[in-house]
Amino acid sequence: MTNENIEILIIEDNITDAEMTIRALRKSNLANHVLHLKDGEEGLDYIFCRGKYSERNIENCPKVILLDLKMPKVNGIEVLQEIKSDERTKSIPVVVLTSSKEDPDIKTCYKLGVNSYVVKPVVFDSFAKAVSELGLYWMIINQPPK
Amino acid sequence: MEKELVSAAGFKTLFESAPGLYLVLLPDLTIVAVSNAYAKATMTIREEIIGRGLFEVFPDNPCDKNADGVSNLSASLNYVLQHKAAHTMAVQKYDIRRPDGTFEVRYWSPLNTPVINAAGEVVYIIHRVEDVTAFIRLKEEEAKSNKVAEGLYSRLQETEIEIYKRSAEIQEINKKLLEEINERKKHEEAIKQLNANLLDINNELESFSYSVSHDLRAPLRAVSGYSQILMEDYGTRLDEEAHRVIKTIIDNAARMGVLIDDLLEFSRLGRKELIKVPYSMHDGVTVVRHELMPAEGERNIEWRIGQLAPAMADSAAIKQVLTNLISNALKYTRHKPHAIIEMDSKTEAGKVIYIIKDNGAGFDMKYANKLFGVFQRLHSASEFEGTGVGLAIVQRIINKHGGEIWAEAVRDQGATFYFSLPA
Repeated sequence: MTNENIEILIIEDNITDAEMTIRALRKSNLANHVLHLKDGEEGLDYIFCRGKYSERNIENCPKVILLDLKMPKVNGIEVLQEIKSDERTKSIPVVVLTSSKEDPDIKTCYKLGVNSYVVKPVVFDSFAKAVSELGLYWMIINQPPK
Repeated sequence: MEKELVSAAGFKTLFESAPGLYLVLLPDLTIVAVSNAYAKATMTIREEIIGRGLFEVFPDNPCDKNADGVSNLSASLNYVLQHKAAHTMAVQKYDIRRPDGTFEVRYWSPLNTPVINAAGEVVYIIHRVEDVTAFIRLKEEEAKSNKVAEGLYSRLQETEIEIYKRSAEIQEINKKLLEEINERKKHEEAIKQLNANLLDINNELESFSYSVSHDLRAPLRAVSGYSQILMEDYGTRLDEEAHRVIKTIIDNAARMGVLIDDLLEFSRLGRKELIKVPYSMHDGVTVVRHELMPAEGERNIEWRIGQLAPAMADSAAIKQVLTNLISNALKYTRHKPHAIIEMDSKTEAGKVIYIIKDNGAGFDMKYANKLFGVFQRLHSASEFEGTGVGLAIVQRIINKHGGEIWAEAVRDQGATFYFSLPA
């Protein structure tokens, strides 16, 4: 866990959504270094190397974080805020992947510096397509900072 | 013989100089003597009145109809003669004659005294008067002022009564006004409360919609997704019927997703405030056309767009209206080899009526009243897809603008939709 190079961090409380996301990534051969965490608290612990991830090296950043908004304990907005307000983590690309297409949420996320906001389609085909395109973009096409 | 202290001539002088208004009369009322003061006061000359009758010299003022000087004096003198006693008269108005013949007002206080001889007969009557004209004048003035004062006082009393009455009225009115203000305040409170309730309900609806929008979609996605996974992972082991069943599940999940979206849009509409601006319908139609046309691919569509008058409208809301109406026109003309979609407008008193006509499938006018109902459809899903919320949304938006929408159609020939907006 400490040295494993996680490329895609999925923070999502819904198991089925996470499973479908990983499946779509796998189909595009992007699922080799994927970690799925089930709530915001665990997500933050991982990113900031706290709690059970205190042995982790914080400079070992994922290439992209797929973040759901509606989660128990610590929700996506709070996670986004923490990531984007810390010098060490604010350049990690965050893609909010959520069911909510409510304006206030979209506005808030952009204000906090989200890199992309994607509404999960209901129809699975479209969902799978969106995820694989997403994955391809952030893993292959986009240039991360060194 | 005693020496006389005062001679007869002396007595005459004494009498005539006496400080008093004296007139001496015989019993037959002939004037025999008069004091200087009397002559002066009556503007008479001694020589001219001595020996003449009293009433000849001093008649009543002919201009005064109520003159009773003569009769009263006469009565008093008769009394004196009869009773051989003095008689005091009440203050008497007895105007005197001026040398030029006109009369001047005078008031006198007369006393008539008999002079009785040794035989007990009245030989003279002394008529003594006080000229009280000035005094009477004063009293008259006083009376006049009193009368004025009295008049003023009674006016004052009347005014006071009026003021009191008016005050009472004002008090009544004030009371009523206060009651009205209280009523108003109560109503305002009630309205405030209702408004607060409305806001609460609105907020509840807002969070309800949000929940629906978010929480219903996730399981729906799972149904659709896992059915797909089933197909992908186990498809080779399943027969045609199984494939059909799974496809049905997926299609219905998709439809449910569209339904949820449409319902949410419909409910969101009711809560949104309209911001009316001058809206160019022409531009709106152009934008919507360009947005919808790519999905139609290669189709034979003829557009006949006339002069579309501008209107006061919420641009996002009306764009929704145009999107729904034009996409309907496109949808229902899908099976026509040559689709014709026309748009026009006409201005009437204070409003603009827009017309959109297509030559598509049309509908049976028998069911026209169902056209705008939520989830009401006049075609089966196999003929044309749709949830039946599109027109309900359009009607809601148009009504919110204060306009109306209606339609005519003939089956298989086409439909014409009309909607009005305030100019």
